[in-house]
Amino acid sequence: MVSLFDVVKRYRGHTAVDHFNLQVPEGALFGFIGPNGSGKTTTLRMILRIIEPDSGSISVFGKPHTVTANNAIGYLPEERGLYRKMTVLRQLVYFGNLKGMSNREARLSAETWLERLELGAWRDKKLETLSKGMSQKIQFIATVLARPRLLILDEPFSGLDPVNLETLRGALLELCREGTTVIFSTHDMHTAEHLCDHICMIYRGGKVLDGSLESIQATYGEDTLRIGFRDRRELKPGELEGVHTLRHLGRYMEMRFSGEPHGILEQAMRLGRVEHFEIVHPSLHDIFVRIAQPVRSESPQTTAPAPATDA
Amino acid sequence: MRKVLAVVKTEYRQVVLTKSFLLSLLFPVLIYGGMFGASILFGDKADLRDRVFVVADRSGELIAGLVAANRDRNRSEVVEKSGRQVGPRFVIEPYTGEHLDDDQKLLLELSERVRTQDAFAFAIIGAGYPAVEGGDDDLLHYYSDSPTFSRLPDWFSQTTRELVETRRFTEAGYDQREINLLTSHNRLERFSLAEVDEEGNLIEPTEENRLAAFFIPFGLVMLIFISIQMTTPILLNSVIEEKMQRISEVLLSSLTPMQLLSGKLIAGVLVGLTFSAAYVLTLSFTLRFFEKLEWIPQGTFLWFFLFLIMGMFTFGSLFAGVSAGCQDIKDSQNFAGTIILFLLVPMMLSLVIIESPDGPFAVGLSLVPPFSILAMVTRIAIPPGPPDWQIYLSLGLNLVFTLTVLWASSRLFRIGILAQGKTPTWRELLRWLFQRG
Repeated sequence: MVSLFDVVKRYRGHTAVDHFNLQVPEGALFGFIGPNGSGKTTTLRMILRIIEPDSGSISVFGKPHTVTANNAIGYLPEERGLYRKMTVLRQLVYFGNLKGMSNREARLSAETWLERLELGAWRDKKLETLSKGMSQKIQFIATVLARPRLLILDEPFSGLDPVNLETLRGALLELCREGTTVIFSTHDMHTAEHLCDHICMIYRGGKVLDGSLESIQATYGEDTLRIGFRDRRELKPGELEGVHTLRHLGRYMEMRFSGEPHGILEQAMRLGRVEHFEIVHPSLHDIFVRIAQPVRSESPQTTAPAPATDA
Repeated sequence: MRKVLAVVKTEYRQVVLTKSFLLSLLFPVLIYGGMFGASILFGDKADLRDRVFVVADRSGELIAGLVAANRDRNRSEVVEKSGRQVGPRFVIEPYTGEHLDDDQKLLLELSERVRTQDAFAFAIIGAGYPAVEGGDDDLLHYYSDSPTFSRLPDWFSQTTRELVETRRFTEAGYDQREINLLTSHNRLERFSLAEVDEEGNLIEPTEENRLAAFFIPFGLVMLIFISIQMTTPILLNSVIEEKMQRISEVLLSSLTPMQLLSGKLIAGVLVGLTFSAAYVLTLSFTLRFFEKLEWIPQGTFLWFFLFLIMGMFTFGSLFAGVSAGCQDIKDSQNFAGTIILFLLVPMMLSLVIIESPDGPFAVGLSLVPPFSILAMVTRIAIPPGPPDWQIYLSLGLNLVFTLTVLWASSRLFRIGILAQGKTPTWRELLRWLFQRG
């Protein structure tokens, strides 16, 4: 569906995207993750041809990308933008027109989506009279209005309350079931872990992870333990032998271990009454920290050390 | 093209369907109608207060004639037959004080009277003024602190001249009937040049109207200035709003920066044309109603709209390109101030052009874009207008200039619209022109 080959983008001496390769399969719900400033938005903008790469090639729908292909792409940018003084329906029709829809098609589609997201009563109101959550739903409608084959969502859930988040997540999953390919960028690893079937992690402009969630986690093995005590006591570093990289997560602690988990359980039971003991795959967050930490200690020009795993 | 049209339609409607714009379209009706109505309603009645005029006549020979002439004026010109007063009366007060021969004291005394509003103005008639050769003493001075009120000094100047002429004729032995015959004359009438039509018939010269010869070109220049001034800030605000509200990125995922810029520019030009067309149509209908359409040289409106379109494209694209790089309205207005100078300078110089439309300065300015947009329209609106080749050359040069500005602005717009952070300097804007996307 989308292919990037050896793509490079530099801004005045700073390499935003560095020899980047990517394959997004058709129908995938593709998570594009990485911390702020890692090059996600630049990559997405290049896929949309809002900006051009300095070198490398990009193809969308199996063909070298042209701007006209954007009619089949819906884009929700990280920074939301709508006309505050324009009525909801009018601006949705306008955005539909810009995707090549006729007035009638755009109006019909907008009205359907407005009803579906319970915003029908607001169609003739100016955007400035709507709440932030409502505005975000309008922005989502503007993105999916033209029934795009490819949806590119940059941080789609940031700032949403749980109710609106669920509404949009439901709509997104439904679009996926109907065959829309979704590339969705986030710095929230938890969201990506729960929603995406394919994940690519970008860090400092380079790809550090690529594959299905299972394949990524399998690469890192089951080397993570979760232990919780009834009295909520907190372990100190070095208190348990064979355990390192300790993180307190509220009800329990997460740690990486080496050796036999039984031995660690015995040690923990000697310290207090163990209520929770679980051997898990490392979370995306954990994997990311493992990848990023060694890089952070090196110079900014150093490329990411961990190999990418193809799904 | 369909996308560009969608931008045009939306941008145009967003501006034109606002109360402020609809109100601005009513302005011509309000202005022309208001002026017409005001002149009917008020006419000369705006200020009917008596004007006390102190005359210090050192010759002693003119004051009686002045008082008598003023009495006639107040009776015949100031009051209609119906008894309705239509203008201010002059009250001539001969100076009878003790400082008649002391220049300094006389000036101070009478100036104080004007300052305290005891009198409106005063005049000093030199002792030798009535003589043919009065030498240093042939003075006729008028003093007031109302320099814009010209009726009194005009009347005073003309009346004293007539009194002196009559006196001289009388001294030469002529009687009043002979004096009237000798001094009567017809007023000067000014005409355009005679022409011959295609069939060899004479086209009668038309009477020149000084007022129209000034106000038509000046009005058209003002209209271009206002149309561009009105349209371009709309473009500027629209670009800045889209940038600040982060709408640009959504738009650019659907169309290219060039398509977006084109749509905005065309919409801006259409807004300007709608505005100016309302004025031009109202003016045309008004002149036609009063059968004065010949005041506007043939073809003036065609050239007016051609130059206006180019002006709006030039300045509109400059505004859009530069404001795309700005981060807020304040920054963009700073840039706008500099750009608008290119429009302001020729507008201010239009008075010089009206005075001498075929002079080297006017010809030169009307060939240099973007000054030529206003300068050439000024020249075209003054009969007989510039030679055709100058109009075509100016149009061609403007076209090249407009296309160059369009190209440069599209480069600035393409980079600026997504640029965040600090507002670029003029130098950085220049660098953007040659930067890759």
